[in-house]
Amino acid sequence: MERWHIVSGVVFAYLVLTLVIGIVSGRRVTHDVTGYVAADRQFGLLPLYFIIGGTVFSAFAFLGAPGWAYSRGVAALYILGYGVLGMAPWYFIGARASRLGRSRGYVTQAQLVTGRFPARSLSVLLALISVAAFVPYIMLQMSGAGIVFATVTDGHVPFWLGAALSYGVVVLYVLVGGAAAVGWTNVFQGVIMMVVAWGVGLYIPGLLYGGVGPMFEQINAARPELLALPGLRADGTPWSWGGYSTAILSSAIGIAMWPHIFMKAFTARDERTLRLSVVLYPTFQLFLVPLLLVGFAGVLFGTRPDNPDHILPHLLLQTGMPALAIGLFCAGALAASMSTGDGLLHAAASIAIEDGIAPFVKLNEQRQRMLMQVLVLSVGAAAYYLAIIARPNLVWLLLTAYGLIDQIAPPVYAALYWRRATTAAVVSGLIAGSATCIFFLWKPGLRPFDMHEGVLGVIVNVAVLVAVSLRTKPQPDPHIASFVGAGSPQGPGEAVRGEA
Amino acid sequence: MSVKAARGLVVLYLAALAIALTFPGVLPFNRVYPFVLGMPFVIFWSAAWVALGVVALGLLERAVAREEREAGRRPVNRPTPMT
Repeated sequence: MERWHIVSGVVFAYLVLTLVIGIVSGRRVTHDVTGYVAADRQFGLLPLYFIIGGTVFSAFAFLGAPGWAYSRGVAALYILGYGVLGMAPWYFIGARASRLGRSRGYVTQAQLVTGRFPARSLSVLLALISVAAFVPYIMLQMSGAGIVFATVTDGHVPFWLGAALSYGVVVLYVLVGGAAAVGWTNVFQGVIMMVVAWGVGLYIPGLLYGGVGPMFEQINAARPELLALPGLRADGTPWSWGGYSTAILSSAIGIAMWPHIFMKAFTARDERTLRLSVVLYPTFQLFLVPLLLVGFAGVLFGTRPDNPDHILPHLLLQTGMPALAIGLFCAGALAASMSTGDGLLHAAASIAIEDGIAPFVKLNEQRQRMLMQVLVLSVGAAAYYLAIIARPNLVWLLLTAYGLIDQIAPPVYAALYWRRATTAAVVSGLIAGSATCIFFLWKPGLRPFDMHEGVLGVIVNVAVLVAVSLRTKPQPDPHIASFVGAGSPQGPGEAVRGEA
Repeated sequence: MSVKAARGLVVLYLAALAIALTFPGVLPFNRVYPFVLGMPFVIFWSAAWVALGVVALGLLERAVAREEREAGRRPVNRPTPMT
């Protein structure tokens, strides 16, 4: 039996198990919209912990992160830096969103925002930004899956087939099980991700250098520029402090605002569960450390992969690891890709219907759910088609996406914390911020201090939001009270407590 | 610790993290030696700030949970314990 047979066997077993978990768990929720979109708001701490971790960390964690460490050195630390900074505020925002969702029936981010700022244009705008940002993200996850398959089976399972197999499974369980399937498969996938990351990350430096310390001693002697912030750019020239610092800030603003992550607030059983999942989130995030170590292990390795993002599978194959271990790694990387891709696919369909269509057309629950399923299928198929034919521009598209997602932060914060904010202001801010972001993507040379376009967009977004708010009529008090007064866990207004 | 104090602590932690990991706050810690846990200091420095998040948020959650208990407002459902 050849190596790729065993590898494929392990991966196949993983895929079958995932499919079974997805389909079985999906059968245990109700068949209405809340069941399909928010899993009947029934997730406890254990699933929520892995759902958030699994959703936040995508194929990028297993391919891109080690790739950064390998080719750009400590520049990769930005990935460590932003996670907690971005997720900790969710202790407050997420809990509040969860409570409002329960009392007012929200299942998407845009419903929450337009609940405070009623405007169908805002709903559509948010839906457009979400779906536009999701598609390249899904494509990236699909091609991640395809790359992993092709690399570890020495090309016996080609790129297109690997992507089709793994995302065929994803589409099936999202179609049948909705949020419940996404959630419970993420538990399984999250466990595999953590085990594989820590296993591989501690094993490889030991195998190649006799330990983590000796590895860094050697790197420091040969390539000291890799161990000093802000590290290097992709082309090997030194990165800028402005670029490094605002990469952290931009990602921190965006991470919890990604609509597919934000929506998970509505799936929590209660606020305490959501808060605890945020408290424990950093423990999940630390799995990036061993993955970065693997990237560093590649620096002084004899052979080079054709693309820095392939450094992890490259090392696994070149160091003669047993086929079983390679298969497990492959399952881990696929788990990372799929646990993000499923959430994206599910959210894209839910958001397009709930926020893009439902405000305009009267649809019953059955109809909405069915339309969502049709969309899961068509978005999946479209993303797959694009991933196969349009690979080169993906990273650029995803960067665009991050900057745009940042622009959702001011509306969300304004909805929950600023009494004086008005609908007109939020809409103008969102448009101005997105336009700024797109402008600087188009003309990167004009960015002041090499700052990230998402951060620049947010600055304009907030300025417009504040200026227009102060010049428009304030919202009526009782309306505001249920959002702003709804209080963080210990806040004054407890009007909407005690429902459910 | 009171909820208010714990809340301040978390805000302080986040502000400190943002400063400690970006320019110019990170400059004094942007060094290779001493190694900690086999890692160059700057890598350990970044990872330690992440780990500290569990402590800061954990203290806040403890304070909030205690206040909820004292006020007799138990959450509607008990969360699944992590075992």
